[in-house]
Amino acid sequence: MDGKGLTSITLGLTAAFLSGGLLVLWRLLYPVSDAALLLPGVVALVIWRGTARRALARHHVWRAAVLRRESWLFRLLTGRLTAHLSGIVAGLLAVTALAEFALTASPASGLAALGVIAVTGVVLPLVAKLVAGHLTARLLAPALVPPLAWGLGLAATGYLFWRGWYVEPIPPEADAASLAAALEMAQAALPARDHLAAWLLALPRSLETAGWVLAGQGADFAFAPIGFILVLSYHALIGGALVRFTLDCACALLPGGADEG
Amino acid sequence: MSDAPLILTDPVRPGRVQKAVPTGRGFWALVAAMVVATLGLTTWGALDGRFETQRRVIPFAEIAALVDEAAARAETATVAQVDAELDAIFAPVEAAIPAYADFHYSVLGEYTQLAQLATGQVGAALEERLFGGFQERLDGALGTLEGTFAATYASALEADMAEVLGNAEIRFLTEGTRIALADAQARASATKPISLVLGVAGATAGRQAVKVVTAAVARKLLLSIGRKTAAKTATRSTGAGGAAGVGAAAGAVFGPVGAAIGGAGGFIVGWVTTDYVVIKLDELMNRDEFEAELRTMIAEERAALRTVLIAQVAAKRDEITLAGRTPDAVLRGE
Repeated sequence: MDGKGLTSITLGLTAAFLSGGLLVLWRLLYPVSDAALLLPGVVALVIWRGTARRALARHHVWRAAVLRRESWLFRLLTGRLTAHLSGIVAGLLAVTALAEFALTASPASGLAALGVIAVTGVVLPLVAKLVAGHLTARLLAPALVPPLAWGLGLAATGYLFWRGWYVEPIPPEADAASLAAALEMAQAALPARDHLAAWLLALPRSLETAGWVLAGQGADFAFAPIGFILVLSYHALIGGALVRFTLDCACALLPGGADEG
Repeated sequence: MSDAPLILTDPVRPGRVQKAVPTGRGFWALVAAMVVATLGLTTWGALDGRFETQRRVIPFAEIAALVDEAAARAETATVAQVDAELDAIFAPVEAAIPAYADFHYSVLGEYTQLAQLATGQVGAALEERLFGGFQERLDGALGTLEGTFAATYASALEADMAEVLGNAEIRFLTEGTRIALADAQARASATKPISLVLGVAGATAGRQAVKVVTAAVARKLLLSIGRKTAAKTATRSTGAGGAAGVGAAAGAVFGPVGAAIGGAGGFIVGWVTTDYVVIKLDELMNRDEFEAELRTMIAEERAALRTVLIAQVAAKRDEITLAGRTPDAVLRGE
């Protein structure tokens, strides 16, 4: 994986276009057909590849520095297992949040999310250019992406939360008479399906709805901050996932195979 | 550590160049295949008529806005009709003013009004001669206004709802919204009718609205009549006293009894004659003023009735409107 590729603005924009395009396609097609379930699969694959490549690159450097090449441990600890596991976990987490958000976000929020993706796609090559002179190409991606993901993720969280809290109208489910009724209504807003993917989509949906309902009850209840915290958590999940997805997409697009460091 | 080359030596078997670094083509080919498969399958599903249209939750606020707008439109349409209805109610009253003035400026009228005043039947003559059929016309007008309100509300709501709920099977409502909607469609007829509320203006039930209006006019009229009666009484006494003297002189021919009868008869004839003359003189001098005064009093009552009707239409709108209500309150039936 050639980390220098991250300095390419073309790569950043391609990653943004691919990330945004996949989410838009998902939003348009899943309500129509279950065939669209292949798209979250693509998203998960991209996140897995980007995450695993960085993990492997980091591990290979660690292995070369720590282990003797003649040792059987050198052959055993290839780092593939943990790299792929972390890729799979990141992929599943992010894809669940992104898929739910893409389906239920208002058009304005959807555009805001595309904006976050575009900004990430532009900022990545700019920052990579800034630090490329200081970092080795092999470790440019593993060293740059985590702090960049945190920085951009926090900014995206703040922006999306501000929009959700102050700009967007409160979701209609928050009107429900009880939390249980609100959760039921919130699930009903998702395309009516009964399979594993639908159950997974219900999780972030419930997190967001519970946040709004509890925040709405804030005036009457002493545990008011819970609603605020849940809504903030939801937006952090979405903001972080949007940024990570774009960055992982860029890492996945870097020249080279999936495994080598 | 310096920048590593893209092509690495195999770390496990040094000296052997690792097999050509994969370019990731396989991965991206898989991605492309999955996207193409999605598009292909979806297109096939669409062509095969397997579309499942996107559903949407209709929030309470959206329904509330439609209900409120329909109620406001109903109010506007009804208020616009109030003047025409009042014209229809009051036209016969105004047309009857000259006939009532004829009655008022007659000896019979004078004594009928006095008798009704004595027996507490204030306004009975007015009600009979001026406000005949008023209550029926009022009831009819209230029914018309009520009908206009309900019809405008229902049609406005129906049209707006049809737009929002265009495809009811794929759009659905939250619980509060569903109840608010069911409620909204029944509200126009379930709220307090305009006619009943008129009772608040002074009577205990709508049926007595005519009494309220008549009594108000009668009160003002009696005040006006009272001011003039004092002036007329002095004239009458002088005239009747003179006629009694003449009658007594003529009756004296038949002795003291004859003088007494002649005196009494002369008094009555003199009183009535004087009364007639005074009334006719009064009519000559004051009839135009009286009619104008009566018109003013009726116009004042009409204006008061107009205010009450418009307020009642607004109250009816307020009862229907959902602004400021929460779905919880609607669920509780508040």
